[in-house]
Amino acid sequence: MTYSILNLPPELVENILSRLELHDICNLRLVDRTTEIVSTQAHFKSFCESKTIHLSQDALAKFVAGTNHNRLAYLLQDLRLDPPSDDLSIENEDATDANLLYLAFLSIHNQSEQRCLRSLDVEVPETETLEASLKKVYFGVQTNSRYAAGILAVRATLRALKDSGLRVEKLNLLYDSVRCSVPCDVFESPAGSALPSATWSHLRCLSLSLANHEEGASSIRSTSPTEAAIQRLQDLVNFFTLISHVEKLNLHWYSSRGMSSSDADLIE
Amino acid sequence: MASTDEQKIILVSSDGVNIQTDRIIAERSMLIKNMIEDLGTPGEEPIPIMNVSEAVLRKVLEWCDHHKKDPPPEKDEDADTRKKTTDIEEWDQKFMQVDQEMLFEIILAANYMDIKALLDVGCKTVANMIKGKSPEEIRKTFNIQNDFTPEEEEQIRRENEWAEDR
Repeated sequence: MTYSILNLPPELVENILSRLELHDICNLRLVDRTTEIVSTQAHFKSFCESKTIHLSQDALAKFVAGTNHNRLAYLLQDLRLDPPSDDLSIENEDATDANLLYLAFLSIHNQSEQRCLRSLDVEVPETETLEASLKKVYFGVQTNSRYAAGILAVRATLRALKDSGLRVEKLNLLYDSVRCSVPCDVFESPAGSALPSATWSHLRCLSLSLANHEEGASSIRSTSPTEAAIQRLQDLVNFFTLISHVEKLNLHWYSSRGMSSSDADLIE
Repeated sequence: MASTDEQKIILVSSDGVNIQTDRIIAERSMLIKNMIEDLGTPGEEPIPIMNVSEAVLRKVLEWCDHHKKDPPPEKDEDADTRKKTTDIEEWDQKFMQVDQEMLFEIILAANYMDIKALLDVGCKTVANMIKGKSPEEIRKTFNIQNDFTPEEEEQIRRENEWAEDR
C-alpha cells in the first residue's frame, strides 16, 4: 500500500495543517478534489468563525461570492462590520451595497431556518469634524459626513438583517459619537403585529457604545454623555422592555476621562 | 536487576523479522515502554510491532538511537509553541531525506509507536513541502492530478478570497 498525505488518518492531516499559514491551506484547497476535502478541516474552518468586513463594495462582493454556495458560510459565528477604510470606496447610486449586505446575510441564513449568528458588531464612524464638506453617496443616499454615512450603515445593516431573516444573539452597535440617534424603527414590529420581528426573537444582548469626542474640558461637561445619550436611549430601553427575550442591555460610553459602562438587566 | 541502559530487547516487525536493540533506544516509543512495563520481563519475550515493516522499523530505531539521550519533552510545550514552528534540526532534516512513501510510513509508525518527537519532525517535514508553494507546485510535489472543473476551481478561489479577507 502506498501512502500519501491524502490517506493519512485525519488527526495526522490536522497535525500537518496546524503548522501551515492560512494562505498555504488555501493553496492546498486548490490542488484537487480530494485534497480540497482533506484540507478543509478544523484548522481552516477556525478562520471562518469570526470575520471583520469593511463596508466597501469590494469586500461585500467578495463576501457574497465566497459564501453563495454556502459551503463555508455556516461556520460564521461572529461578524463585525467596519466602516470602509478608504473614504471614497463607496460611491454608487443604486444602493448596491445594501443589497450586497442583504445577500451576504442571506448566505449565512440559508443554512437553516434556525440559523443564528452569535454576534454582530457594527462600528459607526466618527463625528462630523472630519471631511464635513465632502459630499458622497453612501448606501444610495447622499450625505456630507462620515458620521451621517455611519448612521446609514447601521440602518442599512439592520434592515438587511431583518429582510434576510437572519437572527442574531448579540448585537453591538459601536457608535463613535453621542449625537447619533438609535434607529429604533428598524426594531419595530411588522405592521399590525404586536410581536417584534422574528429577526430579533433570538436577541439576548444588545450593546451600545457611545463615544464622546467633543474637544475641550468644558464641552465635555456640557455634553456629558449621561444627558444626551441617556435621553436618546430611553426610548430604546422602553422599546426593548417589550421584547422579553432581551436579557441584557449594555451601555458604554467613552470620554477623555475614561470609560464607564452600565449593564441593565431587563428581565423585569 | 541490570541497569536499563544495557538491557537488550527484541522487536518483531510486521513482516516477521526479529530486530535486537537497546531497551533505552526502544523506550523512546511510549508503546514499547508501556508494553515492557506491562510484560514485566524485559528482554525475555520478543515484542511484536504489528503495523511496522522491517525497513521502517529499522529507520525509526535509527532515529531513536540518535535521540536516546534527549530530555523527555516538557508536558505543555504542545499545542501553541510546537505547532507553529516548522524548524527542524539538521540531523533530523537529513534523516527525513527519504522518498515520500518512506516519509509517510515513518509518520504512521511514529504515530502508532507513540514517539511524539519523531511524529513532530515528520509532520513538520510534510508541512515544509507545502509551505509557500502554489497549487501547481504542490501537485508536482505530491504527484497529484488536478480534477477540478473550471467552475469548481473558481468557486474555491472565491471561498479562499473570502476566508483570507480579514
